[in-house]
Amino acid sequence: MPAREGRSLGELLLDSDLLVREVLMDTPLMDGRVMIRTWGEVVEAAADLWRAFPEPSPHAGQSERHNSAQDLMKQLQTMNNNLMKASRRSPWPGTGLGDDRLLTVCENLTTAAELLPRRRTDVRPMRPEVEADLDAAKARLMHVLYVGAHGVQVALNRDLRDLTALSATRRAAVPPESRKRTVEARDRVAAFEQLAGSYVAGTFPTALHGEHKPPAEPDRLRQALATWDIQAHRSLSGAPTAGTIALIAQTQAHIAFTSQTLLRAGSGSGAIEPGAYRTRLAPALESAQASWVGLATVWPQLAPSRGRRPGPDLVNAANEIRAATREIIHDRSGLASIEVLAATVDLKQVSRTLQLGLATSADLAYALRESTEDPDLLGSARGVNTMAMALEARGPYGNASTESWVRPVDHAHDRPVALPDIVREALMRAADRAIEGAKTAAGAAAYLSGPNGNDAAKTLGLKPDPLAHHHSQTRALPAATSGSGRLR
Amino acid sequence: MTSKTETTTGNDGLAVIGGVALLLQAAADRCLSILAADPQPGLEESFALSDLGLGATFAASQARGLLPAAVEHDDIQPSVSRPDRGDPLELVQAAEALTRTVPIEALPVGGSRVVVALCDLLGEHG
Repeated sequence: MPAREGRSLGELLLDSDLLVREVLMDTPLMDGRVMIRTWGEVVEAAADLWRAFPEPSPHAGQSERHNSAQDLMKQLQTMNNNLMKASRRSPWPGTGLGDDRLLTVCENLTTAAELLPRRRTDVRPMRPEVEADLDAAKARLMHVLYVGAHGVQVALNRDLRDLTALSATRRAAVPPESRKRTVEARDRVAAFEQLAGSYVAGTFPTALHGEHKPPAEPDRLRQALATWDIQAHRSLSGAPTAGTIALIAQTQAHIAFTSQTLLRAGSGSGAIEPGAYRTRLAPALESAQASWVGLATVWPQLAPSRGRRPGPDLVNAANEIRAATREIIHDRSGLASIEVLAATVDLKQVSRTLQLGLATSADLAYALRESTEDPDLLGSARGVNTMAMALEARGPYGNASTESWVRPVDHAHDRPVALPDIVREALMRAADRAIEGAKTAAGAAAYLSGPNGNDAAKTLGLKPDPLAHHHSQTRALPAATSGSGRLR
Repeated sequence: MTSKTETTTGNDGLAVIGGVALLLQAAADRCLSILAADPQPGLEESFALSDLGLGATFAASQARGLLPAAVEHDDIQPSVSRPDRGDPLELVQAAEALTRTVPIEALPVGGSRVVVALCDLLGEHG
């Protein structure tokens, strides 16, 4: 059931899990007192959520396990109550700010508890998949407490080290109670962590395999492709670096692999016309893949080690492409079969989305070529030198040049340098192959958007293509690259 | 979870993150060179390699973002004998193993995202 802001119980728990992991990693910057002030509320919210979980159907072995988990949570809550009482009785940690991220965890857990409907499992048995999802939620919740407790403990340890490192004068100004209470709180939180860890050891991450996976959002891939197209064009129209072009080529190659995987499933299931896929689209997609992979293999060599990081917007857009495609193509065990894809995804709609993506790829390939022509585009001195020497060696006279391709000082520091003509021309040829590959694929995919794209299959009485798997491996057009990182 | 040792420094953490960035980039490059080979792997394997390579590129980018501009990458070469050969997944595993060589709090702030990205990548492809 979705929360007011749209997140499901699983998403709220996952967010909490990620937040406590961040807290744990950033404890060197945190104040143990601030964390201990908020920790009690986290445990209380977790206990409330635990109580709100529906009880599993009583069957052999299950109720004993359930009771033992209930007892464990009660123990944890008691330990937490004792710690909080002790804190309230003493001036340490005192009043003050709480930790923002732990407060967000509290809010998440409270919202999650509000989402859970009350249900009686004695009158309506819980389905096995619901029971598996419940186990996963419990494992995730206990993991939040386990990791969070460790973060609080690390922060308290750091406080103790800071107290020890104080000069004698400054140490005298600190109330003697502080050190004692910090040690006590640290030891109690450590015991709490161990107890939570006993549950985590038996359930995490295996229980997560039963976690309910919501169906893919139908519009996510279309949105991801549109955003990617915009960000890639923006990056190329600015002052692109070799790292930026490398990421664009790599992501385009991934889009081509994704397109072929999904369109092959569409062909195999009859969602798109199998004959046109086999004879025109599959070979064109393979050619496009090969040309993008060729570019993606070469450009990273020209990205200096310090300049390989593309802009965050482009990285985020590429990341969303990967996430959106994984959501559709992967099931829990790996690449989903054609049958699973056909049952879970509207392959006809997806094929139209992919057709739009393939159509815009050609324009992106042209933009990439224009960037390659830009005289201000620089490459890593070492990469430029290696590539220029390799290209020269393949020429009629071999490595006959007596001058080096880059200055030794630039090579030593791997500075960005201008691209020599021999390198730029080879990169242009590779970009030309990407343009041709993208154009051919876009042309071959055009029928997917037409009114007769799939309907033609029905009209002609064509059946799903049983050879789709085999034909997808056929390479009807020559690959753009002839080996790892080679330019022709 | 156990408490960390007391002997590591922030510089160790930076060196680890630098090494992780290099290993992940090597993994991404390796994925691409396998995909560029002739004959190309089958479609399932190609998609998996492309996905792993893209994931490794993102994680490498995250790791590099944690390094101060002054850090010389040449000073933090990890002990990878031939990053241009071998299994890219093993390179990602090596990067994850490298993060365990220092206590987690020795890593620079934001290191959590890199560790989580590495674990996710291994979970997806392991």
